[in-house]
Amino acid sequence: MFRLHRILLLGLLATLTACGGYSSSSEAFRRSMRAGVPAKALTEVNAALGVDRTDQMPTEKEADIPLLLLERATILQAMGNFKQSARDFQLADKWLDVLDLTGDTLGSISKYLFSDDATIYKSPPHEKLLLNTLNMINYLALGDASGAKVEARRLVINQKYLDGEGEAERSMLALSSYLAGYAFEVAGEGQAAMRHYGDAVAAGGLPTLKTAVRELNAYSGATDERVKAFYGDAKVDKRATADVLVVMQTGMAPYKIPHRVPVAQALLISSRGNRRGRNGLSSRQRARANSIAAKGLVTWVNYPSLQRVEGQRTVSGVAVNGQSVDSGVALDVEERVIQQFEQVQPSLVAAALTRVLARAAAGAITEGAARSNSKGGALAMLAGLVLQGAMVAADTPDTRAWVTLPARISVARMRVPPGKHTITVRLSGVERIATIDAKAGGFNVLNFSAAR
Amino acid sequence: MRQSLALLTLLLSASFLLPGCGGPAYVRGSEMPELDEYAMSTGFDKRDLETLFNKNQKSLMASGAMRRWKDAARNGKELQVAIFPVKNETSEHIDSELQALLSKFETTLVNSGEVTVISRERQVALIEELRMQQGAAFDPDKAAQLGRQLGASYFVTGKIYSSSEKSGEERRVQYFLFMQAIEVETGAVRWQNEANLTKGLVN
Repeated sequence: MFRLHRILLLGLLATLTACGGYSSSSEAFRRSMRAGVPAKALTEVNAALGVDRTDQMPTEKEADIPLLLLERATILQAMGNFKQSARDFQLADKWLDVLDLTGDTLGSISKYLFSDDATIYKSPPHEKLLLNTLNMINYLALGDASGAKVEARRLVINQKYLDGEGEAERSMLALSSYLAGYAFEVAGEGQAAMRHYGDAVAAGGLPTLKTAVRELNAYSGATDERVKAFYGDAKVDKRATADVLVVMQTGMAPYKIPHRVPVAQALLISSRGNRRGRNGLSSRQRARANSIAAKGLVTWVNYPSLQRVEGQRTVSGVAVNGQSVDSGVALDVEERVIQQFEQVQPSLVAAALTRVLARAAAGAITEGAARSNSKGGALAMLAGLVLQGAMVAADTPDTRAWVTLPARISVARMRVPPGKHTITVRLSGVERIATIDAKAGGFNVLNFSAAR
Repeated sequence: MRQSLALLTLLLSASFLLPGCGGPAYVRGSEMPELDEYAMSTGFDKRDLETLFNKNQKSLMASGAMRRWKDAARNGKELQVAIFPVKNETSEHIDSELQALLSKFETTLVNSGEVTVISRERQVALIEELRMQQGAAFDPDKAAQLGRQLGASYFVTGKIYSSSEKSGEERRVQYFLFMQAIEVETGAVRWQNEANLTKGLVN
């Protein structure tokens, strides 16, 4: 009888440890950002971080803290607080680096036995690259070319690392390399800038890049084989004008939500295999899952699915002193998030299926143990069901992801004479205006990411 | 009943034990000498700054540039030396640490009594200009111009590079700091030294 109590207690404890996962804890600030109220989002993300004020830093890097720092950095950037945003990005970068190299045997086992988000958070490739990209924007907006160059170098290290891991995100790099090129160009290092512009072209290019290459080549003589088709006549008086770059972050990237699918459907998804041709489910496990599905014993599988955000703003125009200038989408973050998720989805479902099998096995063992200790078969069955139910409740799909990322990043770039200028960004439904005091030979980077 | 009581006791004990883990506490280096020993990041800490400073200071003190400055001082012509920023060419945000390194250099030169060090407060605008246009201190024409503006005969500056790599097993940053003393009038490099160190994050 005492053993039965222990089993029921274990079930109860497992139920108590269950929680809503990152999709619940991030919902408040994600919604506030979506509504275009970053100040409210900041209060909410601070609460999630367990701090009262933005100048406070969390002391632990465990759990979701590095991810929450990425969220706070994005929110602060939207509010124009570039200094504190850069600080948060830096710390998150450092901690994510540590987590990347941290062994997680227990988490890996738990992922297949207990719960999906029991693992240490290891950011996917697009998040690693976007961290440095968005932080480059912070430093450039602060007028700090040196800081932006540091981020550009970190980006290259991450890019090489991902190349080495076979996880290159080539198409991500057009905007990142362009911003790196911009940082080196405004720091007066034309040849290094041209090399980054060459990388941007190799990654697929983006609006305003062609003009940037032509002008840089014309005034500095910098070259790169990959961009020579863009050279041409360009009359640029660099010392008498200012370089203005406008970055516009609109919409919200898709986020993960917990999802339940029948075992049969989960088997179908996991059979698609991931990009490395593995789905993590052995033929024996597959047969066992099929058998469970056929018997109707455990019919649902918990796993994270991706939720797109509908009705997002887009950039409809950019003007300087009322005159329209060229602009366009430089990075489709939404598309990258979807692609990355589709690549890992089969292995996520396979892990969820393995947990189903573990639950079924634990339930059977519990029932057997209870049966040997009690005379009533019904009570033994109940014990098995309680444990399985508790394990289902504790199974939290891993919905961790950087949820305040924009859906798209657009750019506009122009040269203006020294003096005051008004930059107007027209987004669907709203208009945002900023005034700059341009200095001859200088640069101004403006970021608009509050209205999503 | 006794079994239920035992279970309850077990649960209560567990609930008291769980939050019992020790929280963070502030300490002084004197209370915990090993605090300065281990690395907490791939950036610079006190020990790294001391390593880089000691290597460069030793080299400068034994250099021809220092002999010239001493000779000039003996002949009643104390030279004016300016300290310009060190250009950060690394993959780490170490600008404030580099400022600390330069301050240590400034202290050494001031206390040597051989030269007059131009107050860095007087250089704020120029340093800001150098920060914005990082190449300026290394462009001989511009450097000479900046030095003359300050009335300096020499300026001390430097560059720091890094070679950074990351793999599934570790992250390594190798730093190479080059310090120079440049004669304003001629643009000639009168002293140069390289110091290096490696930081890493390993499993």
